[in-house]
Amino acid sequence: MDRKLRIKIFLKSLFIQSGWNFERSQNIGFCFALMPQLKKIWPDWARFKKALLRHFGIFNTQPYMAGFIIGNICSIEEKISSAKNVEEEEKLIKSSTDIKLALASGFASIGDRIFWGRITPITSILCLTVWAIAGFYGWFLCDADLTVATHILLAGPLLGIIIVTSVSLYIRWKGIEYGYLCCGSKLCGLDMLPWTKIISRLSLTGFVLSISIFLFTLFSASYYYYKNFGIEGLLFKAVLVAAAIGIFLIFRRLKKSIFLVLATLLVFSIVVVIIARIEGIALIL
Amino acid sequence: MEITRIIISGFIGGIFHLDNVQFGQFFLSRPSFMGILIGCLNGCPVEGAVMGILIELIYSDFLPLGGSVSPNGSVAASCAVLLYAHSFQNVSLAFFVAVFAGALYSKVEFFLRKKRSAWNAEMEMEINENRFKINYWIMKALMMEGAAAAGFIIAVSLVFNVAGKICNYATVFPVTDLAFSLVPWIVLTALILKFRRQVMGCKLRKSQETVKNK
Repeated sequence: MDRKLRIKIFLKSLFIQSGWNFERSQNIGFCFALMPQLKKIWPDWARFKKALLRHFGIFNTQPYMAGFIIGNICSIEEKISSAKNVEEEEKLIKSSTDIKLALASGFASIGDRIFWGRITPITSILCLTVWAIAGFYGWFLCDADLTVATHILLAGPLLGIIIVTSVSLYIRWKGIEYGYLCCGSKLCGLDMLPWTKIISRLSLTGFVLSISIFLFTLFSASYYYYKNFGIEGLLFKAVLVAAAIGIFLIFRRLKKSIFLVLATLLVFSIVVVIIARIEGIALIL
Repeated sequence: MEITRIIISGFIGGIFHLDNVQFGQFFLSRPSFMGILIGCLNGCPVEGAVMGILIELIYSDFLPLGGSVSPNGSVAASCAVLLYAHSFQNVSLAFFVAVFAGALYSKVEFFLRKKRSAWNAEMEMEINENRFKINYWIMKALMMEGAAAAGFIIAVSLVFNVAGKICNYATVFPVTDLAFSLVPWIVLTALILKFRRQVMGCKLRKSQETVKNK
């Protein structure tokens, strides 16, 4: 595959999820990405049409990992175009559909675990870490001073954007190359990187980072409430936080949605506000 | 002036929302970034950042696996900033309304995805009749999704803006303020539990593999 064609396919693969539909998932985006290669190897419209309809069926994978499958299908299509007889062509056509579906689910599982399940929340923690280092605590100290420079605010999410975009673009670009070189292998790209090791390392990193940011928040908030409201203020806040975490853990155990937790938290706040307004109790509080 | 700002912000929100599913997935539609961006346009980047990151952490509970339609963080963050800047002038109420608005938008997204299923038959017909123009369908999908998100953001902001002239939102501020101050602790606990489960899962798999190898 020449560089020009690869760039075209790469750019079009960024639209892999355009037209996502429940009937066939990413089929429109997949065909859009395949178009340059199909047009090149099937100049005759009738054959091109057949090839396009072949790939118009259901297709669903993690968008960053789609390059592996696109590259693989590009090379299989080339093989089909140079098949010596009808039997060979039919065999290749059948294998292209099988490989496409097998790889799509394999890469969806890997990609979802790495990107959606781990890297996305890790970038959120990184954003909080950048803000903490820069001295912005407004996201957990609601009544604290909220003045902060916009570039510090932007640095948090931008760090995540840069990390995810560079990793995803690399995987997308390499995926097309690797997939094309696999030339119809059913294990194509699944052995490119030690995915299981990456997944477990990311989980551990996320776990350590989440505990660190929790402890940092806990100590900073404790210091802030103690300094501004004394030991009573700190204890009152600690009781409220413990109650909120308790509500969350109960709902988590019952496998209820986070929206139900938020709704319960609002009800809990109504109760606390009403109790706090009762004269005798307000004095104690 | 206020309406113009809402409309411009809505359209920008709609355009950036496309990054979420339709094009690229460069994380430009992540709520923490959208909150600051729309916040800058409406003179409240800090509040936008605070609401954005909390929405992002709340929604990280939902994964877009296998085509499931999760609550939309970019729409929620845009709504949150516009509600804060033009209706409530209170971060906590804007946050809670926006979190539920993001969940409501997933119904709109579900409808759009369902509607696009009907395109397949039309496209197949076009391919068979040799008049297939895929660029047109891709553009149509982008326009529909962007317009729906923009329309939703503008509609939510305007509804609460108009309702603000009739009701006094300030009465609920003590309740939402208290609940909002507890949200960071819930999302941080959720994060720890999420990664703990993942680490335990990896360990379990590893031990199973060792047993298998033995």
